[in-house]
Amino acid sequence: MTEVTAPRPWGRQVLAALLRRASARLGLAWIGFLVLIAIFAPLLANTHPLYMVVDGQASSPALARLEALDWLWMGGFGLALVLRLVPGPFVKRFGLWLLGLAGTAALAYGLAAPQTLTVYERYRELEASGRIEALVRAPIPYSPKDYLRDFGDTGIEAPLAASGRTHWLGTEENGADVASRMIHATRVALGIGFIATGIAIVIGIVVGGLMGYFSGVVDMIGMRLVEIFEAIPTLFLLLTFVAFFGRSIYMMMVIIGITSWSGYARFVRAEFLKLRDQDFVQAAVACGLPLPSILFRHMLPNGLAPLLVAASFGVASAILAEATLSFLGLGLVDDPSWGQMLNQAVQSSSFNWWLAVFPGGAIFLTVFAYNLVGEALRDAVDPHTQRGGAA
Amino acid sequence: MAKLLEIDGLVTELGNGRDWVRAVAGVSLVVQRGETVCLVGESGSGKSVTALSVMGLLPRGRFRHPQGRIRLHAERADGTQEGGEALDLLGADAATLTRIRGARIGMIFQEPMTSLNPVMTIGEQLGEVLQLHRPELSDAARAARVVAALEEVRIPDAVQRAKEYPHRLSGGQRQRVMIAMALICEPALLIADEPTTALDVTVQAEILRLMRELQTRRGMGMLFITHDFGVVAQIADTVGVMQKGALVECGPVAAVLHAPQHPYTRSLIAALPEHLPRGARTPGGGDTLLALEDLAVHFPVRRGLLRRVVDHFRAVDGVSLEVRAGEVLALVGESGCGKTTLGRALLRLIEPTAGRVVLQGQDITRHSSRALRPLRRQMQVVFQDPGSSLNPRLPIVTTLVEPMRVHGIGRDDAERRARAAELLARVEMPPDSLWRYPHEFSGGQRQRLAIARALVLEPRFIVCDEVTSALDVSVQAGILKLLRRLVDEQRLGILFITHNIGVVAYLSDRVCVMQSGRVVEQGATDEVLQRPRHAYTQVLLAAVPRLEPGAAP
Amino acid sequence: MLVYLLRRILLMVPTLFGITLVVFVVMAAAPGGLSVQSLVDGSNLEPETRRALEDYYNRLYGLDQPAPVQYLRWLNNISPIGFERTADGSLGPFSLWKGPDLGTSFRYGRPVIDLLAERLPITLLLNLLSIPLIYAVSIAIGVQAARARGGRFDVGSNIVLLGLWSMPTMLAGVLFIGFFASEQYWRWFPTAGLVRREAVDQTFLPWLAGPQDVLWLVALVALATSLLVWAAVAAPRGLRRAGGAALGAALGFLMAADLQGAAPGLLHGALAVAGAGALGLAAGLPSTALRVALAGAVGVGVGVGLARLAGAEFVQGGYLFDRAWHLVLPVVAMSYGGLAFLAKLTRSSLLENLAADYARTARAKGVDEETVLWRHVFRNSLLPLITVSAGLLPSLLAGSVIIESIFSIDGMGKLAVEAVQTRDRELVLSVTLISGLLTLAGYLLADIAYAIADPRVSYD
Repeated sequence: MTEVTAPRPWGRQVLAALLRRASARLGLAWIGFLVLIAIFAPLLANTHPLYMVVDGQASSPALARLEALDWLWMGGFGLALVLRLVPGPFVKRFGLWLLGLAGTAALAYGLAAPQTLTVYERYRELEASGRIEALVRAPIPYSPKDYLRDFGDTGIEAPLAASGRTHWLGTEENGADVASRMIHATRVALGIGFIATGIAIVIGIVVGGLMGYFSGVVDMIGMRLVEIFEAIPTLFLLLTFVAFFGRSIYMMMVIIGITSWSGYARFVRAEFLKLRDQDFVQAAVACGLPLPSILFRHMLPNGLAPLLVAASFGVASAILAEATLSFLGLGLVDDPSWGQMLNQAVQSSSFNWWLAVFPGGAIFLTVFAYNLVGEALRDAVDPHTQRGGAA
Repeated sequence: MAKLLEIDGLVTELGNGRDWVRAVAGVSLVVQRGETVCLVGESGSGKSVTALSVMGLLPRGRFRHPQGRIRLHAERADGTQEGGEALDLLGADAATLTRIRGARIGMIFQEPMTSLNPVMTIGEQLGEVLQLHRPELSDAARAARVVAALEEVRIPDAVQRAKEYPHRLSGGQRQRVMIAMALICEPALLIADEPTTALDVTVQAEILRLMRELQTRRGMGMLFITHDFGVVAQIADTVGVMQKGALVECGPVAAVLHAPQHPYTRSLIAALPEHLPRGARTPGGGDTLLALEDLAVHFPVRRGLLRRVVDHFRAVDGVSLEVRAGEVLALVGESGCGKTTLGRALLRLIEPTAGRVVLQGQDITRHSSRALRPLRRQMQVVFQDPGSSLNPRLPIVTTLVEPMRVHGIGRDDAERRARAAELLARVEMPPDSLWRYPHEFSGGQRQRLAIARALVLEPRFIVCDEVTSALDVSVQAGILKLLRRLVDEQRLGILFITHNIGVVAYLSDRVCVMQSGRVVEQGATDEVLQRPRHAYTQVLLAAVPRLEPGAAP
Repeated sequence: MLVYLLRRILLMVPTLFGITLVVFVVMAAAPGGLSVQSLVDGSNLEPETRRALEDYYNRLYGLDQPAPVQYLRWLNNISPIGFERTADGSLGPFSLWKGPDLGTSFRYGRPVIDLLAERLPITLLLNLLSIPLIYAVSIAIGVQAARARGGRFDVGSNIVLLGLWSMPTMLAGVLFIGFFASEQYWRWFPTAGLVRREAVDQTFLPWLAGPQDVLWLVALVALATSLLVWAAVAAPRGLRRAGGAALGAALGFLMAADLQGAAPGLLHGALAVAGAGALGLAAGLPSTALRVALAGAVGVGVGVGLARLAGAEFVQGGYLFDRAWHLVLPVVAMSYGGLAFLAKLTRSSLLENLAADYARTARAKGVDEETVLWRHVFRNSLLPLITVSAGLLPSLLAGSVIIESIFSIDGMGKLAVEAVQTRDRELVLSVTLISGLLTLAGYLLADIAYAIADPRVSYD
């Protein structure tokens, strides 16, 4: 330990240790792939052409019909790309990113006003009439809610079974393209995974931190609360919430968030109890540092590593929770979701394997990826395997 | 005497299959029958790895022996095989090794609290050794042997104890059980790896006496690993000094301790606190910085259905003392005597139950934490464990600057940083340490940084809680000199909590002996150490292992 | 210990209150959550009847009163002591032994207690079958992985277990039903329910067609099983591998033939290769216990299959057989997730203990590595498994919600889904209460088991 190395912030070290593991790289690659798909979903699967020339007039119906949320996703991505080039500590850049995202959201919701009435058949009719001079369509030329009414009474069709249309992954019960729905459902899965876990962690940190630092009566009441939430099977509480409250995606995020905080609270409490007796925290108290500094500067960052690991597993289980709810028919009503498509695999008397294998496979791979990352992260922050842990 | 164990050019490398680190680099050593060989050295010198190599107990797949031989000349139980074929331990297969371990070689480890299986009774664990190596014994005979073995190591009420689980026993008793277990098959060689390091000094004295006695009675050879020269002087016939995996000096104990040849041995012995040169002390008489009046800390013991408080554990039970400017008051006692609780209570890190804490004439016992905050500047603390004394997520500069900012020392951060750099120089650390993280420093360096953190607020009074007990003796010497210099130059007052009498003798002006929450004796250091009045102090002092038998500190 | 138990049981009461309160608050806070309209809506009634029904419900449950009063009334109903309820629903005199009343389900129109009595045993049966299976298999895998740390089995099983753990229960259930129960693929198992209607009237034990059919069955099963188990135990590794691969290929081919006829096609090849790979790998497992268990299972399957091929019509109903047949897929689908989790836990717990000081002491006594593992380390490593068992029950209860919905099993889980979907207040609260009670009882049992297993724990 006598040799002097260049100081490297702890976050950078953990990241390096994480990326040394092949499983983590695989998991992160899959998650990154999903993020890209989620960002560019409307450009990947859309009935509206990306570019077309009709009667000499060029237009881009796909862009014109982008909604505020679409702009938000893409804006966030663009901001992240720009901020990568800006120097500065990660926390600062992340703050800037959040700020930019809020700005983009305000702009997007203020300005974007897509046409509300969508007639999917129009483009296919235009194409058939031969009035289109140039046309660029999305790789999957079907919108998730394009039920292909103009093709008559379509329903569940196996991949590549329909004549005249190409559905690589088949269609679901209403006749919509499975591939398109899966692409758009990526947003639901990722959004719910991150935001629900974020909500759960914030609640967990606040409750657990208070319990761990103050102990005594606060601790006792808090622990009872944690026990209560742990004794109700989470799925059951979720079902009750979802059945009695609406089924919007935001409601779902909040609900999954507030049903899964108890584990984090218990965790943070244990971590804080341990940290409170550590010498450097006692020394900080003895220095007369104010409470917020002790809590957030000296205790929280040291308890963060295991929390990060738990969060990684937590995202996996939040995604699973959404899929389960949708599967049980309590999910989003019209919006695409992997779990809801999986539900259709055995709904009728026959078994539609493509509705089980593709959406089910997507759920599995995503959950697997998060678990792989979580596991690798646990090894990376483990003091036993870490080089600089002890003298 | 006949050769018992012969280590010949042993090289042990530890690693994970790709990178190998040489932990033992060519050690040659002989243990004769009936002889005690001590291996002494600082942490990381390879002394424990040598012992584990003999037993073949290093973690599987994580070690290799590119060179060397270890031979055991005690193949048969009756010892008739003098000079016959020796057994090569490094080349032995697993079956041979399991036959040797426990029967021919017994071993004791450092941590008595974790070295016994928590879910097996004492009797089962002792009986297992007999079952393995004396399968011919009947159940009754085995039980009798177990009880006899426990009685031999002076476990009271051995029949009852054999039926109990290890957690019911104290650390000292557990180490006795470990000794009984290692010796129950009457091995020819006993390997003891720091067997008394985790024990209190009075218990250590008893265990050492017991081991010595058993060894002479049985004529065993003993390989004894320790870092404590006092223990070496007590128990060794031959001593080997290890440094960085090599045996730098080996010889009869008197020769090595009193006329060391190798410069490393000399520096080690010179660094012992009792050998550190004590400068002339200006006697105390500065103004009183801190006074405790009948301070008590009781922890409630709750029992029963309603968790009612049925009793109090009196960790600190009415202690009065005072620390004056420019003096070191040593607070001495064994583990569990309440000295650490006292230190935390007077800093108001734990709430005192009764009594008063008076800081520079101001009673702070009932101050709210807000009111206390500005006063905290005047009293600071340095803790024992260098591994956790600094926030691992913050660079040193933040750790040092933040308290200054809170207490309004310095005009801006640039000035505070300059002050921090100045402080680093005072604790003899390079100025670029500011920009590094704690894990980049060694234990001794971290303790220096922790002292710098305490000095940052320019306190008049510092509590040092066992600051050197986790450090090697040469590092300890540096820290002790630093502390003494700070006291002499800046007229600080220090309350030095320790269990190490040698340190007390070097560092402190006055000493305060604690036993079960009470102060039993208090006075000038020389006075107390030379002429202890209280019976407990006498026992404590007598138990301290010293280089010169019978010499006073 | 007794005092500790009493204390724990007393502490359960406020927690139970809390659980029902949380669920009640959720229902009451929901827009249009609990009102008499939401109950009566949808039923096609005359205005007078409707009004009468509304009045009745209002009196019975106090639905026109503020939510806190409603909750208190509900508490009064379920409490064994409290105010009696008169026939018209209003409160009567205070009584010390009125007995608990869980109320009547709005939708089913039946007492909740009857519904629970019907459904709970089914869910408990599923759980009680799953738990021993989970523990047995996960300990076997965990021990093997820990013993050969970093070896091929350790690394391979780690990935497979993580995969199993990540596999959504509903995906497994859907795939099971789709491939092994539906008409389109292999119809080996029943699709839905726990019993065929015919089987209910049949004798408990299967009655058998004729002695020679039974003989065929017994002979073939015994032959196949004993042969495979013997091979698993005694044959050298290379031979086992080859034999396993050959058997797997044959089985794969037969599976394809079952579906598409004997003419070799793409499916035949694919299944044969997959079967050969799977069984070849399984036959090469280093742990004898795991091999024997697998060989036994495959042997029984092969024996039954051969008997079928030989034309023996042995399955002539019988309640027991039918029930078991229905339970196979749900229990497997319910177990694999917990199994994966526990096997990983077993492994890490064993590894930690193998490196512990007391294990080193045992080695220094001359105990060989096998005995260190089984006598010293194993019991200490079980302690975290006991702690986890408390959390296993709630997760299994949640799992049964999904499983019962997929396999159309009329258990508590399905009842719960139905209850929240129809906003059946009494049913939702009662199901919450019961599952909370079961969970807390699980925690308590785990604590007691821990105290028995670990002498260091003393409760007072």
